[in-house]
Amino acid sequence: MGATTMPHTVDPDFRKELLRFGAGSLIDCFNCGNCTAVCPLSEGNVAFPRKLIRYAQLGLKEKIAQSPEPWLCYSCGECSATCPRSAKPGETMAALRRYAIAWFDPTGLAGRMYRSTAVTLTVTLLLAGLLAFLLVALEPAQPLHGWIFGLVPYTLVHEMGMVVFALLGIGAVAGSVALVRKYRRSLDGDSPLRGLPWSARLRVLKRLGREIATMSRHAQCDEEQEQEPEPWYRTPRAIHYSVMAGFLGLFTASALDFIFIFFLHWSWFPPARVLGTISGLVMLYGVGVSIYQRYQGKATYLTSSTLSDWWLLAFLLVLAITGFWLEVAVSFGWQQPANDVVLLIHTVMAMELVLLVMVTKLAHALYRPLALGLLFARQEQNLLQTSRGNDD
Amino acid sequence: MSPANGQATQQQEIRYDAVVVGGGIAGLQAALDLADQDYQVLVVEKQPSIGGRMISLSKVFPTLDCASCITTPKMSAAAHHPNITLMTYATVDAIEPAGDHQRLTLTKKPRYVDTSTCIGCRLCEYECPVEYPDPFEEGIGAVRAIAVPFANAIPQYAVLNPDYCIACGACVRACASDAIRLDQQPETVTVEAGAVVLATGFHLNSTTLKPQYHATESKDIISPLHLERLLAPHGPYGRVLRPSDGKIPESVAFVLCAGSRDQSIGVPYCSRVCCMYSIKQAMLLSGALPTADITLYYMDIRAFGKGFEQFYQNAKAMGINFVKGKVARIAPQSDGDMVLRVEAIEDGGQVMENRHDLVVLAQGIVPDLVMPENLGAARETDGFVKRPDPLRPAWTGCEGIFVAGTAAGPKDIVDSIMEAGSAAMEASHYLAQKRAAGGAEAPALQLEVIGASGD
Repeated sequence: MGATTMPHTVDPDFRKELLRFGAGSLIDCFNCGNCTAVCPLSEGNVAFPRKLIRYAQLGLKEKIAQSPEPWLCYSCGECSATCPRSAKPGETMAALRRYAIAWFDPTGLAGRMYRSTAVTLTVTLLLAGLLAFLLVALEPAQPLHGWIFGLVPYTLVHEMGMVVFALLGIGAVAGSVALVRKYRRSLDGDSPLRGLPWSARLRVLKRLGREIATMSRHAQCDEEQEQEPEPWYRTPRAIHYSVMAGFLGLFTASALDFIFIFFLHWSWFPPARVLGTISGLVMLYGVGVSIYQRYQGKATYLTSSTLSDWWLLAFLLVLAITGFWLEVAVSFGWQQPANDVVLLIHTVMAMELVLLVMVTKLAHALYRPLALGLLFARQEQNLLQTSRGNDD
Repeated sequence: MSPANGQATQQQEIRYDAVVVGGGIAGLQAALDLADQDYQVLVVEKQPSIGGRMISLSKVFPTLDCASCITTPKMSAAAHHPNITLMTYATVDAIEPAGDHQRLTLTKKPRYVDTSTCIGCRLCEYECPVEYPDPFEEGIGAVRAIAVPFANAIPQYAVLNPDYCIACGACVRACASDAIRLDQQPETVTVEAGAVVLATGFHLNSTTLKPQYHATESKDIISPLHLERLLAPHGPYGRVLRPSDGKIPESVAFVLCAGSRDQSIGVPYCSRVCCMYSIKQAMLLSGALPTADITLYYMDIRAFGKGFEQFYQNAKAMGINFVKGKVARIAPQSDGDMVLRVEAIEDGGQVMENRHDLVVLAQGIVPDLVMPENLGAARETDGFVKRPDPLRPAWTGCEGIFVAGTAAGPKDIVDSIMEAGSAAMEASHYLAQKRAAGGAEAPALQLEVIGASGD
């Protein structure tokens, strides 16, 4: 049975469900296709957002889950700015990304957090409290330490941490597998790489690597804007890039520190320090400008921000600031009574960000490259087909 | 050239049974319907000729009748009617209630020609050395700085455009009847009327409203009124050529809903006529350019009137290509062509980039009357004149003031004419009631007739 002839159940109430994820006005859309044609990233048969909005209007959840297209969108806002019905298709795309994160999350936590501000805040605070409690309890001088580790052996707590991280890895793999499997459904169960020679597969990987390193597709969005162009350092791509690069740099620096200082017992590892400082500054810039622009809400792509947007930015901002505080304190021997509290906040929030990665906006760091990989594979297949057609 | 020493404005007091504001097809119909019932009617038209938008059209849908062949008899009938006075090249500045009638303040713009002696011989026009883009030809033809506005204009008086006149005096020397008055001044006239019919009409909104269409960057992205002139038998080129380089178009695109049904440009309503006039233009074009590819991009075809759907089906059968999808971008290319980006909604939903060498943007209908408040009427949120009573669609809600045609909302010629009849009926009913009440309103006293067929 082909995917096109598969029966679908129309669910008009799905619209209301998607509204809770921050969708634009789905009932206003009259399917003129302006959004798809105005989108600089829509090309040939990789065309969005109208098709997805149509799926959402009809409540075809399965079709939506099979579409990697929401992840290809960088929210330039051109579709929302030119929509004849002010139906905000760009916001619907963002809502579909949130919906997909919730869909691929087996715990159901993501969905609950997106639907409710209260749940988001409760989960964040409870987890922070728990982590802080455990961290404080690790210190042998604390009375808590004896109390808790008298009850539970230290090694068990340590191993539980390992289990949590293992579960996290499983969650990430499960999410990725779920995305690819859904996508395969749209191909009648075929592999997205079917028929691709190894050279083409290598090209897919290369293009993906180059795309992650340059965000060149994001640049395409900025070019098509009709309004006064922003200076290069304030373009959405530059800001997004600095957040991403800063985050990855800090992640790498932390990992290097961990290896060299914790395992190899070096007193300090200068390259990690330098990388960490530069990355921190870059991320601080990106996060700061993001928060300022979202607060102003002037640009077309920033007219509405949901809690999930603020949540991630707030975490990154606090992490960057506390990180710098600690760096100064460590490097210059700056003795402050607040240092311990800052360290606690920094550690708790960093752990929380990692623990919640698959249920928050940060999950796009996994899903977007995956979707891009699927797109590149499809383009390679199309190329192959046309060249075969020419041979015939 | 601007008039010197502007003190001597004359004050005149004139009374009519009814004043019709606007001399287009709706205004003329309302005036004729009232005049035939023996009411004295004044038609005020801001252009130098009556006839409105319709006189500049090539043909009308869905019958493909010649537009000027239908309009000129009406214009002529109004001009020759004993109960109708025409005042062209004049604007209505204010309408205010005065007792049980309305007082209108009008400004007669200077023609710089004495209409009591001008005989419309055009000698001035032949001698005038200055040419400028002809407004009647939507700027794609040329007209002399002093000229009779167009071939079948009524009245046939010359009018001088001071923005282009170089005051060389050639027209003064050429005029056989000594009618050129370079010192003419605007004149304020006060008129009293028992009833007023607003038939102020429409204009099309600008092709530059959507920056994504880049209409400023190409002369070949034109408005539908441009194309009407290109298609008209007596149009500027006498044939269809593309404006930028005179090439015969090979691939023409019609972009529907380019100026309406779009909240992002502030016109959320449907202009009602664009689908049909675009289909009509596509049909006429396929006659004028039999080898050209003609594509019509639409969101929905609204063929709602009598014979409209058949007309649409005929156009399809003629080989005109209909593509469902709103054009999102128009990119002018260096070779003069335009690339249109559109989602092929009914063809798998892929994004297409199609190349055309002439693009017609179906712009939206917006009211010509910007401040109906000044003319005693109220305004809807969309800018058109308000009609509060659904059972009296020609009534503005103000005593004695009625509305007809596109002043009240977008509509086609047939509907405008019907609504004009309705407004005339309302006005005549209103006047008759006043007369029957035996009030102060005496039979209309016309103090001065300003030319039977002129202003």
